[in-house]
Amino acid sequence: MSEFCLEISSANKSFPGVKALDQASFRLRKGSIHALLGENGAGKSTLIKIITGVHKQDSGKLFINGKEETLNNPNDATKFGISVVHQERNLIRRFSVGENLMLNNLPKTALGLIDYDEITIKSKKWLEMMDLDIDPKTVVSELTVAKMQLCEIAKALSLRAKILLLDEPTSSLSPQESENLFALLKKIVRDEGVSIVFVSHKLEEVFNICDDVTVLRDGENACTSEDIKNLDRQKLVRLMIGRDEQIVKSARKIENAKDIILALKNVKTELGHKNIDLELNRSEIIGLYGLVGAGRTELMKCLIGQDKITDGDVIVNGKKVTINSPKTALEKFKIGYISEDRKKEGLILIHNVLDNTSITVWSQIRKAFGFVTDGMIANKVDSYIRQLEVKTTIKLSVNFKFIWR
Amino acid sequence: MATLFKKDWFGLLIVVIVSGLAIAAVKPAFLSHFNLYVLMVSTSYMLIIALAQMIIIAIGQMNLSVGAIGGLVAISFSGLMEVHQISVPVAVLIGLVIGMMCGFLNGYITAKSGISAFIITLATLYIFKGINLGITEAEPFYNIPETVKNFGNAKLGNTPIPFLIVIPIIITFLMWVFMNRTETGRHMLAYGNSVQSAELIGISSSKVVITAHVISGFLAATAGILVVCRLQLGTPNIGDSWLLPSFAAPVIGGAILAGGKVDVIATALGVLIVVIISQALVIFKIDPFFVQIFLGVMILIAVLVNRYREYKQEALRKIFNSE
Repeated sequence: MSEFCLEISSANKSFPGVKALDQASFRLRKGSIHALLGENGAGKSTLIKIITGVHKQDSGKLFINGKEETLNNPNDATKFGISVVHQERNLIRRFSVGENLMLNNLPKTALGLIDYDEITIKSKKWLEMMDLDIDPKTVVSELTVAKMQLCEIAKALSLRAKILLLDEPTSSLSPQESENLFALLKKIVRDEGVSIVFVSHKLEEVFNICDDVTVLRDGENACTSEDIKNLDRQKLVRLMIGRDEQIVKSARKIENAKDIILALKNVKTELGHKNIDLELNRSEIIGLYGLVGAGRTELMKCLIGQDKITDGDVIVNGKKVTINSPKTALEKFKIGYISEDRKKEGLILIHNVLDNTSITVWSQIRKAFGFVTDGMIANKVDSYIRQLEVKTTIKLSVNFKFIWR
Repeated sequence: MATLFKKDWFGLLIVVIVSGLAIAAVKPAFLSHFNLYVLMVSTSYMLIIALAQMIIIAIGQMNLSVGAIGGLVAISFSGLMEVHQISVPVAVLIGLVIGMMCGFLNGYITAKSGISAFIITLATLYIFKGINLGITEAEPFYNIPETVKNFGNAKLGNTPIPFLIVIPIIITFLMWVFMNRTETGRHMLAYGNSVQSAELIGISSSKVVITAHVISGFLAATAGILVVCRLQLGTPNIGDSWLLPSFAAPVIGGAILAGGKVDVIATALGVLIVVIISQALVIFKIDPFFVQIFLGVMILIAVLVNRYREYKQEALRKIFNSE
């Protein structure tokens, strides 16, 4: 038997226009917690999708317990005891916890019908094993995010998972909840002989619980299955970003000088925020901190008028204002919003770069009768596209196609 | 009691009872034998049509071709008996198989191409309807065997209950069992809740989609055959007016068109509400041409109520669901 329960050697995977993985390798020791690190777009999720059978590598080999195997679909991966725990997407929200846990293998009565009592009994066993105090009959959508996550892990274990992939499991957990999760992970590694692949951006967590580290950068291995004892934080960051970590010195700390351009006073929103105060000075960057689900994004959406502020004051440049739509926010108050969800909210994917970069300023650049040409757009956005190093094949300022907007 | 109020069907049951009593109070003729009979006859095939759509709504799709399948099966069923002298049971069987084949075609193309079922079934609607018109040249089949006619007219003993309604009641029960107690049914709802989650769990999407469409085709075929029994003839325009009511009942029953949430009992009550109100309009002598307005308004109200409830339950909890 091999020392490794999962091994990937020299995997390549290309998507149209992108090489997602370039000779990537990965070895998971039995009974270890293995950190898979890398910046966004480094190829982590592609690698995970290969391990879970969602994608198939273009070339390269995959070994499970030392034997070469092919995974054609997620079902194959499940058969080999590979389970992935996503942030919360894997549960059927309208089903009960118990049914979710057993969904792959629903217990049946003699007539072939689902035995809900048996579901409750069986799922309870897994929940208890994880010291989870959840009634299996609870509907998932009524759980907290943290509990959903733990249910996902319980589900993976109920599938007899021997290899567990955790994709940023702590992003929606409080420090206490994270600690509980880590204790649980250590327990299942020890008691159940499970091996874990742990994807995280939080390096403290990696040093806290992981045994080995694999770092991907631009689809290639920056390091492969390195013992964490040989690494320190600085080395790890260098591996991830390809250069030393630079702490940018803040240009100018605004001390007492108060030039408040945006303030929220005692704001209440229809989404449930209460007593929110915030002050933003000119040339200042303010960080909005909180767990997933704490309502950060939602507060910003209320601020730009997508959802309603029901009480309290919004003050822009010293004047109390009402912002009732993103359009007003942008055009009247010059408040722009850049979404974290680029694909769904940030960009119109089937439109080209020019259209996307300029869509918010068409009203400024259009001529009589709303006439806008690519040339006019290019003049306006060309310099920004260059400054931000947007990789695009469009030749700017050459294209003189006339299009009505 | 509190848990009863949470159920989709409980509110609807009250609506059915209250509206029934209210109409009866104003127009006692509403509870006459004849009227109850007519009411139950319409309920019988409406119920199956609604379930044919409901199962597709469960997986988050739409089947625009329910009526076309029903119509094609209706004329095949009657044509086989009249032109080819085929015995009734065999004609029923062939009719059902045709319906399931139509459903299979819908499901197979949808699953394998990944194109939305809305477009696929819009196209097959015209194909099925076209075959129907090609065969019949718009002429009905009149010579339906007596056994079929008798079945369509029979009542249970001395009651106003049509024999026709027995089959829909059995089918409704079986559908309830299917959606709530079988693995395939639960997998369909899981798929309707989230395609991505279902696939990650290892549920085969093509199996789910094709099965749902085959069942939908089977149910549409059953409805087509029942309508032939009722009308005592096979006209090519059977099914033409099914589309709107097929969506109305499940939606009134709290189904969410995005998928993952349907309720068989609530859908059945939705059918009852549609039928009672249509019947009330007749009793109150409202021009039948206006009936569609009421159907439209009812769908609108149901959708708004669903939306409001979802908004209350989901949206707020999703954001601040910490303890």
